[in-house]
Amino acid sequence: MGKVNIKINGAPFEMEEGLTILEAARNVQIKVPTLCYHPDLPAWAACGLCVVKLEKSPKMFRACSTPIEEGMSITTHDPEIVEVRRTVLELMLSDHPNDCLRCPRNGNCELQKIAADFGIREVEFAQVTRDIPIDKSTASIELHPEKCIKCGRCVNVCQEMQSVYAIEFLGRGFSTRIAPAADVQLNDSPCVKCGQCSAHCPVGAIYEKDETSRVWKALLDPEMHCVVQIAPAVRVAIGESFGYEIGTLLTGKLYAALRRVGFDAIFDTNFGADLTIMEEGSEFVELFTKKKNELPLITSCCPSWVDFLEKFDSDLIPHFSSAKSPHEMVGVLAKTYYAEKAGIDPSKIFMVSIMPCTAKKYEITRTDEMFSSGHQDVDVSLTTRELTRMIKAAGIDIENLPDDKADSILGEYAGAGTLFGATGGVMEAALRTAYKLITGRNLGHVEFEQVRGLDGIKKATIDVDGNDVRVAVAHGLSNVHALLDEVRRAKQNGEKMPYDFIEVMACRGGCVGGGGQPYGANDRVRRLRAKGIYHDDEGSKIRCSHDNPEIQNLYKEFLGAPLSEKSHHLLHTTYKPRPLYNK
Amino acid sequence: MITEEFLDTPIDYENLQKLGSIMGSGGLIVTDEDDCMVDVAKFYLGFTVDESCGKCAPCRIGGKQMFDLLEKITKGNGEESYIEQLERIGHAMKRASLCGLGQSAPNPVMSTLKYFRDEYLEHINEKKCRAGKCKDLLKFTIVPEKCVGCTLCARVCPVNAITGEKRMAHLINQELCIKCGECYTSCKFSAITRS
Repeated sequence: MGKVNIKINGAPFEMEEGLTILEAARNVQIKVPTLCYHPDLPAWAACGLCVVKLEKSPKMFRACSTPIEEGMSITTHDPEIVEVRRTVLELMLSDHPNDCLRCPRNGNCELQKIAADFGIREVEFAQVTRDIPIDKSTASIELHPEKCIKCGRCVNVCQEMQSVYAIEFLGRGFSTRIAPAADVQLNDSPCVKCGQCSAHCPVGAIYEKDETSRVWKALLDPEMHCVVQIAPAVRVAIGESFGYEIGTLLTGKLYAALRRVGFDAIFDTNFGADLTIMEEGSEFVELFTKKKNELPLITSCCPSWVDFLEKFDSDLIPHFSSAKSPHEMVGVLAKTYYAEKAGIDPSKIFMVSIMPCTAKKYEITRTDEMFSSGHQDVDVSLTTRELTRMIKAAGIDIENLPDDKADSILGEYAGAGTLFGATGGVMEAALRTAYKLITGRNLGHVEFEQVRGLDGIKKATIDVDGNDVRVAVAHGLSNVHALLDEVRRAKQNGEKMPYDFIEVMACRGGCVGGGGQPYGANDRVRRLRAKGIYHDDEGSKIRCSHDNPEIQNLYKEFLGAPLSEKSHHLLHTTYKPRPLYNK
Repeated sequence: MITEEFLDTPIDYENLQKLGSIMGSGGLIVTDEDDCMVDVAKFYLGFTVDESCGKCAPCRIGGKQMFDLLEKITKGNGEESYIEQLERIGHAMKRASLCGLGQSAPNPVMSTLKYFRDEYLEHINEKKCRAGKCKDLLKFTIVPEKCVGCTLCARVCPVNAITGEKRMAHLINQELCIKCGECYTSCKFSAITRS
């Protein structure tokens, strides 16, 4: 890339060719306001807030979508530009309900922030907000189209990043609104509940279904024994909502906060991740050593990915790992193994999962196997954002809270378990255990750098005692089909399969970038959160799932062995093709 | 919209743009005093509001807001502050809309505000439409002294709003009247006034 000379507000700069005016301005500490722009997505140029002037042109240009050129002289702020932006902003506010106090985005809404930055005290124009029906059809997310500012982020995320095409602009002109294509309910659409729309929405038009009140109710019920588990990616992200640096590991403080909130026992989904590795790793070793023609094995711990595969790629269901996701494993064991050992009636156990994910809310009732304890294995799944609100409502000063420990017997975890929070993590954790299962020895160097990082598709060949294990990792659902099509082609042509083991996570960056995580994720944030995950792994005394003593005890005392009949009954599930649209 | 004094303007992009008009498809529409400038502006703005794709905020919401303001003015519910609002939104739409449609949509309003501002003010302050196009501002009444009771107006009225005995002065029921003007144009004795 060459360099170009430009002027911004009269000052000369040399900048990299190919930058947009917006990026160039940000490089020199000039903030041009935006609402529709998001670094994850192609510029959409809809909101009209980022207009700037170019010398020798009577028009204004959008900074987000105009590349810089040699000799360009840009004005980003003058009284006329500010007035135009202010008018456009007031127009947007005239089409937005003044409902901030009761909106879930109160305090972290991008529109609210820009209105504050512009010092809006009154809107000159008449309110023209429309009543559009709210869509609460899915278990995961709610659509409140009357709050939508038509920035297009959700549509572009759903279509470009996730290739799900569940939501679309319907109507035109002032009647434009966001809705599932064909105007069906979201639950009847191809939506896979990943919640990336909610994580990218600048306002409160799409958000997670709030279930905190159900949890508070259970906590108040003296008859209920409330247990909780936290997912790997939650502990490196929740700190952002309390003023911590991005990626700060808050495991101990989270345990302590959850105990203060009122939970009777604190477990860890990382324990479940270790267990998933034991089951899924054993599945893989079984296929790799005895039934090579049934490979590749495809991971199944991401519920959006499961929903996606059942809807778009159901021909590959036979390759899907039957192991349940980690939090479902902890859920079922809490109501069987733990209930037995602690002498608690499982019908009185209320299991809450704290997840970086909106799709987990859907997963907990996905099939009959999610009730294999005889009760609903996980009663409520909350997102990181919901837990944040609970901690704040409970008045917990998390910053000064001393660290606590998770409770036995579903609380201890190996470094491998925590890796589930980042893309490539399930693969890395599985390889550590598969190596042991195949060779009988532990790995010397347990890190697999090849599967880490934010490349959409990562491929590696791992040498396991002279055997090549060919793995592939994809994250962000739009990257999946390139891999799956390779598998299909090989199948059709009767060729050797290109991969032995494939990991997929629906969200970019894996669960650290999940749809239920604190707002503001971009690639920089995803990298820092993943760094926290790797930091947690490196700091763990035990790095491999099979070395986790609570896992070893569980097999000794309760399950027998991986893939035993009892394991199959409690820890495995099934899949079925699902239609893209329900009638 | 331009006025008589610019009739000698050469028809090209630059000159028309300078006057706040556009070339469009090259057609010219000539209007006389029987057309209401506010109504004409509303008609053309209505077209672009219908045609707006809805992608960018200035055009999507600005067009709708301007149209609503004109609607209120032509119905006799206008306020003087609306003129300032129209100019403010129009300016933002011209500058910040994404495509030519939104950028030129306010032109009919901006140019009529420039050359026919008094007509807007009449609508707002005197609730009067001098061209008689804004029906909500009209009132038809029968002057009893002039009415000979020929019954023609009662027969042409499409909503039976006019009553009266033969050879007696007739009366218009204002609540039923739809301001179509049929009675006004059919009366041979100039007994009906339009105000």
